[in-house]
Amino acid sequence: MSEYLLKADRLKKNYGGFTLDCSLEVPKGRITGIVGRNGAGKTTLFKAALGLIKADGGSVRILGKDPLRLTAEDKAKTGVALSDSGFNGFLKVRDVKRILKGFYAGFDEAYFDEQAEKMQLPVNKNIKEFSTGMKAKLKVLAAVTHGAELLIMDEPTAGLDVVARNELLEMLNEYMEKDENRAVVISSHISGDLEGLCDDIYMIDEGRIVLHEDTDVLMDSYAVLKVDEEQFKGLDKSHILRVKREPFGYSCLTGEKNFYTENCPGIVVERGGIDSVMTLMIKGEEI
Amino acid sequence: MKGLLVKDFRLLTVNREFIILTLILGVGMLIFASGRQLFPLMFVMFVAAIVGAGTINDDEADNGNAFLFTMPFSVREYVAEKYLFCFMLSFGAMVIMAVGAAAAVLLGKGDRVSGLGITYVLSLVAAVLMQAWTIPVNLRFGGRKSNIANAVIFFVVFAAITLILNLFTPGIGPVFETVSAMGLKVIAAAGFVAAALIYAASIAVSLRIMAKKEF
Repeated sequence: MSEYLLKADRLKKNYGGFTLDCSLEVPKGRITGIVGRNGAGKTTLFKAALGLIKADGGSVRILGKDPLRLTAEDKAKTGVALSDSGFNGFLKVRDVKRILKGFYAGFDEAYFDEQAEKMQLPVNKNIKEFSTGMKAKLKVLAAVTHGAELLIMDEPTAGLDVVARNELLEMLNEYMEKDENRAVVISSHISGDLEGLCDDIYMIDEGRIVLHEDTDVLMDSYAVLKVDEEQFKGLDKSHILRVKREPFGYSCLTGEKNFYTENCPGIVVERGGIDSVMTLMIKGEEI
Repeated sequence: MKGLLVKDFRLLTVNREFIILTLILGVGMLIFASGRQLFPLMFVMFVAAIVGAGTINDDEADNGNAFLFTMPFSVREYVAEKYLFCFMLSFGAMVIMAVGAAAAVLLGKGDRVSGLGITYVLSLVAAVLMQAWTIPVNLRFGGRKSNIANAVIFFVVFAAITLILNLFTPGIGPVFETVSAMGLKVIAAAGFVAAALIYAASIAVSLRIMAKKEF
């Protein structure tokens, strides 16, 4: 199998006025994050990768195969949590356990029970009566309990409080620690979740990848320069990625923070962070 | 397929009050309406067929199919499981009604026993044919729309049959005479072959519907 557990190359999908056209690689041993606004194409990308929708162009390979040709054995190697879909609300946690046991030969019943108890998931209550947090926890738990090689997590932390988010992220970290050949691809619009968890991050907007960078590089090398009109005129723009007009002058996104801190001592240089990088990549203009 | 069957049987418990009531009504009719076995039998088996096909709508509820189809099974397995599950329900209903009929006989309320076997087999065939209708319709149109689609399809089929009978009234008599002359065994065998062909066609249509679906 290739070193990539998921690979999309110019993957295209058209929905009326929306077009997904993106490339992405998820190698073994890494947690890859996808961040983007609602409707940016994150779920469409995942659904195409899982063979739930048919691509209109390009290619996508999951576990080295065309998603439409995955066998049951191949599918058992993936664990999936989707933002807009899950188990039928009339089922209970004990039902889910039996269903997973029926589907997956590698289902770890003891771990499921242990985690369900730790997360205080009610065993005999209908899922439709669960809180948003409980539903999200159950989705992730169902995905990580059968020894999958690849986890695909679509907005697993949406609508959760900080404690619940951290519990889920901890579960994903534990999953990765068990086997270095595993991989996780996770989408979120909460940048903090991805900053602390992911090895690399894709930013997606209107169906296109606008930036792909290692998280360490994103956090250490990206910065926002805040400059007035005069400073902007004299600024070396060779490392400026995007510029956005502001009431005080300009916000300039750079991927070479050190260059500007060393060579432009008079200007304000703020740490990048996913949110500000994302905002400037989308709202800013190229020079 | 095991996981799918477990799921559907677990979902079945959601309707347990309705299922128990149907069985009580069916067995009650067997016991208290001596000599009229066919109606309660067909009633229970048809309800079983409808409940079975209803799990297709349960799968679709709240966009559940998107997640369900990430699990380890193929579209072919999904379709096969639906037909198997519905058949199991109808067969189970038939067995329960047969036990009920035997109880009625023991209580002195039952009908003659001879000839009932063919009634039960024919009822099962009728229920299977109903599944051959409801499963693809439910797969194609989903929960609410499938009710409308069933009504429209029923009307079209009924109108077509009426029209054909009216157009060919003079020729119907000889056809019936020819069929009658073939004898019961030949008619039954032809009926089973026709039912098997309809069932196979239904499975093919269901596979085609599911192959085109996106979630």
